[in-house]
Amino acid sequence: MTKRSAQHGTIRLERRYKAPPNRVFAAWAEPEARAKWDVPGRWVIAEQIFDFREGGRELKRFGPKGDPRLVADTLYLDIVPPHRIVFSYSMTSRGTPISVSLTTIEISAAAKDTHLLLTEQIAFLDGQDNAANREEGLASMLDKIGKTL
Amino acid sequence: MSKRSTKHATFTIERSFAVPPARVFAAYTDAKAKARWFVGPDEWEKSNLKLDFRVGGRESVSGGPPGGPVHFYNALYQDIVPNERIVMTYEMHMEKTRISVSLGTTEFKPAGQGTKLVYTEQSVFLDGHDDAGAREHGTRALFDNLDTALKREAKAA
Amino acid sequence: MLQPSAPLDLAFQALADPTRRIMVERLSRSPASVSELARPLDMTLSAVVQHLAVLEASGLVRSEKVGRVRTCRIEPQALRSAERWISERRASWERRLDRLGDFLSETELLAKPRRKK
Repeated sequence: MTKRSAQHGTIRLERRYKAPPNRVFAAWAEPEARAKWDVPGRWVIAEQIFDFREGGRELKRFGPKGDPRLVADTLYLDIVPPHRIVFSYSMTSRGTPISVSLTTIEISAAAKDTHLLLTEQIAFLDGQDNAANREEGLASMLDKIGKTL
Repeated sequence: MSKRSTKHATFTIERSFAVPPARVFAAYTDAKAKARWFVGPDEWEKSNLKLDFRVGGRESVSGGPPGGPVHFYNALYQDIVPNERIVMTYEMHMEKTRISVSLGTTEFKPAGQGTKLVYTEQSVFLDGHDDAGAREHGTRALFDNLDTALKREAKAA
Repeated sequence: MLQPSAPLDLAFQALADPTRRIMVERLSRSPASVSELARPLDMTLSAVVQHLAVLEASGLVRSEKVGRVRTCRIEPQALRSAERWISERRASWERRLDRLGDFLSETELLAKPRRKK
């Protein structure tokens, strides 16, 4: 059987927020604001570096309490205030790569509200040691199910 | 202010080469080897390819038709598994305008005595600069160049 | 674009029950016998066994009997897949975008200009 080395997929999410586009954009752009909503559920953030600008690199180390093994390493590629943010990020667990993503955030006015569209194109890197995947995927699934009930 | 727009696209190219994965992979690892095949059309003016082939390393090259707009390619290496896989993010600019951002995955799979290369590109084309398949077409041409370079190398060996 | 997979739906359904979630959380730390799994749960052994059957049917858990002891473990194949990871990325964004909405509502009051009256 051929061992797959990479699988690809795209996810799309939309939201309508009762706030003007510049406030929604500011929620991404300002570190104090982003730190309030961009948090990983039940898990903790052990280390975080903000650098929101084209070419800026951000780092987030997070995971279950006592085991912040995941690292999201982000590069901002295209920022057009307040309309668009394009960034790529890699996810690793204890140094082992899990996936690399290219994310597009589009912010547009919808009457007095804002329409937000998130498109994420993902390269999932299977093979190697994926025991780490399993736990993170499972924990998030449990968390999500817990939240919806 | 012109309206902003995006178009997302994914394509996959599979190519066979008659040499083992390590030889194909080697054509990616240093600037000299890569410059033999990673080039624009013949009539384009060439500029130096810069390559720092490691996770976190960068790559850049530019070129264009004489007297015409200059195209800039800038990449960041996200993941490298020697002789197996390369994942990188890259952007294309035409002069000062960003045209697209892409995530490119290259897999090198052994196939008998040779290699099956699978390249998947997931892109976002910005503000109407989507290209109706020109990117895919151009990438196939690059693999033609790679094939020629590898054959030439095999003959010289 | 990956299609939603039936195994993923089965898994989500299996995890919709809080007892089964507790069992899966326990197994994600290490394999366990059925009696070990049952110990912290306030129910009969046969109820535990029924929950286990649902988890095995969903593909999340696998068990084998050696002698008189049935040992359960997380099924690695079920979880080590692109669909699961990509689904997890989606779930993660859903949570965060919901929280963004909460943040925008909470800070709306501060952003409103004060009315002179």
